[in-house]
Amino acid sequence: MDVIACVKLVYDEAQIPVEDGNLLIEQAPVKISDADLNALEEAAQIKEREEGNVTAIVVLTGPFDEAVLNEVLAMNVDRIIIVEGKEVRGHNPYRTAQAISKVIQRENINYDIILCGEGTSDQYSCALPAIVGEMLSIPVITFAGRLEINKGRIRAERYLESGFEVVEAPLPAVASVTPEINEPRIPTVLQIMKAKKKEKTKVKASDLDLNYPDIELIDMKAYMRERLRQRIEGDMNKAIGKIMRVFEEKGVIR
Amino acid sequence: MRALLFSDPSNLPKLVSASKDIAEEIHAITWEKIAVPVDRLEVIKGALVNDCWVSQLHEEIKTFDLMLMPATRDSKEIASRLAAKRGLPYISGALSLKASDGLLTTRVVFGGRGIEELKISMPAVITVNLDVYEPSFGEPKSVEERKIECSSKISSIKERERKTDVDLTKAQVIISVGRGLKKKEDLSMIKELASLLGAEISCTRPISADLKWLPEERHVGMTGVKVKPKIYLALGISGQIQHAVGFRDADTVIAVNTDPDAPISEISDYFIVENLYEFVPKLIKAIREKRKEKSN
Ligand SMILES: Cc1cc2nc3c(=O)[nH]c(=O)nc-3n(C[C@H](O)[C@H](O)[C@H](O)COP(=O)(O)OP(=O)(O)OC[C@H]3O[C@@H](n4cnc5c(N)ncnc54)[C@H](O)[C@@H]3O)c2cc1C
Repeated sequence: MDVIACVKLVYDEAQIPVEDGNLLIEQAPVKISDADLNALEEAAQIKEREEGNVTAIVVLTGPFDEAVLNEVLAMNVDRIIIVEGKEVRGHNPYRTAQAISKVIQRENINYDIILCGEGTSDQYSCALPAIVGEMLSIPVITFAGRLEINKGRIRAERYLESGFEVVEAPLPAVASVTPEINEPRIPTVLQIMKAKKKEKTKVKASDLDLNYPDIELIDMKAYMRERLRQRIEGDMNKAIGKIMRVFEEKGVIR
Repeated sequence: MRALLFSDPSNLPKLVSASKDIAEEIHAITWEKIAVPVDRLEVIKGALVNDCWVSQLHEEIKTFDLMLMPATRDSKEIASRLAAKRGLPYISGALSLKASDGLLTTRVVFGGRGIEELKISMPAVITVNLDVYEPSFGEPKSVEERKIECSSKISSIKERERKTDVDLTKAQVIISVGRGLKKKEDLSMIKELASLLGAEISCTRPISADLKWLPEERHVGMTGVKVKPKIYLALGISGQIQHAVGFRDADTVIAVNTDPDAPISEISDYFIVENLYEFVPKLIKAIREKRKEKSN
């Protein structure tokens, strides 16, 4: 059972400094997009159960840190394919999905399943897995909170606003997974050291002949809202009194 | 501009509101008859999985400038696949839409820390975040009903549960619980407080998705509902950005947390460092006394 995991490197959203209403994104450290960790973990578990290889594909849309690539490899990934170049920079899930689909075909990467996170920590468009499925003409299963593989078929519990839906499809297929599907392993220092020696293949985006509809970024601003930030600590009566006054002011006690 | 709307029946009235400002002609497709003021309503039965909708809509979309869907998880899949099939630009979870030599949209990024403005050409496919819209009801100018046959490689083994009517976006007071709540049974104390205040109960994603103590439609945040109550009372919630973006538009945010350094301290109006298990019973008592006082 060969698995491809699609992985995005992102700026850690929790550590982006804000200055005058602007996000200084490039000053934040780089991390693996949260739900992609779940895709990597699921890929590793499938490999450990069914035998086979895990290939990670990383399209560099901006953020980059070699150490984070090693963290990807340390999650029992066999090799990593990195698509780089100005042609893939910036937010455009269509383009990223096309780069992934084309690199899979060009490098002849074997796969039974392609796994992605449900959405990325920075953009959360949730579009890429579905577009990859379309481009490769294979079944698409999104928002899987549970996966089972049995006799060449995949069964998934899709986690939706309205409850759960169980679907089944033949392999090969692409699935996006939710953060609830598993608890991603934290690689040891030794595993990360070893990972440095694993195969990293670089592919130039300019060789992939990408053509896609454009998305033009006009502006980006911080989306925070200032709050009063009054702290009440160590005085329960004061706390209750304060909250009761707020309730009365807002007219919620009838 | 001509817009094609595709939506589950419950989100359609809000989607119509979102499209009214930019489209002169509106066609809508859904699977149950619902009274919405559109030029043409098509009720299509028999499509069981997303695959069926993709192949169905893929033809219908051709003559429109814009295809709009609600930003639900199913729609996000269908919309991106349609965009891929037709080679059209796709924007996911748009907060606003404006026509101007193409289409200007805004969307939330970085888990809720940023908002970006994007421009695309038309025709295009958009999923819209509907939490800010009021529903539009009225009679469609024409209605067509039909049933389709669909064969797909993907089969639905168990159908999804039905959505209930709760609409957290309308709630004036919301009591929200996070992992500071230790067991499901403790929700009874939260319910008691909620009924005293006429409040709705919401939660963080781990409470609905991991623990399944509350239904999914009650989770607030980037992947859940965006609420705008007068009061948002956050009990045992750390305040990670993915959750916090969901209560950004609340008037007043009160947080109760045992950890004096919890991130929610920075994004609440009143931050109370207390154990919720001591705080909630005392608050219930105080409200009861106040009411008694008032009725005397
Ligand atoms: C792609 C993605 C999307 C996500 N989308 C969402 C989303 O839409 N909505 C969402 O909510 N989350 C979302 N999350 C998860 C989010 O990042 C956080 O993990 C989650 O919000 C944390 O929930 P919590 O505050 O309940 O739990 P925790 O972070 O574990 O916090 C529990 C808090 O309770 C406090 N506490 C413990 N005991 C008590 C007590 N007795 N009294 C008072 N306080 C107590 C603790 O000090 C702590 O601060 C998403 C994550 C990912 C990766």
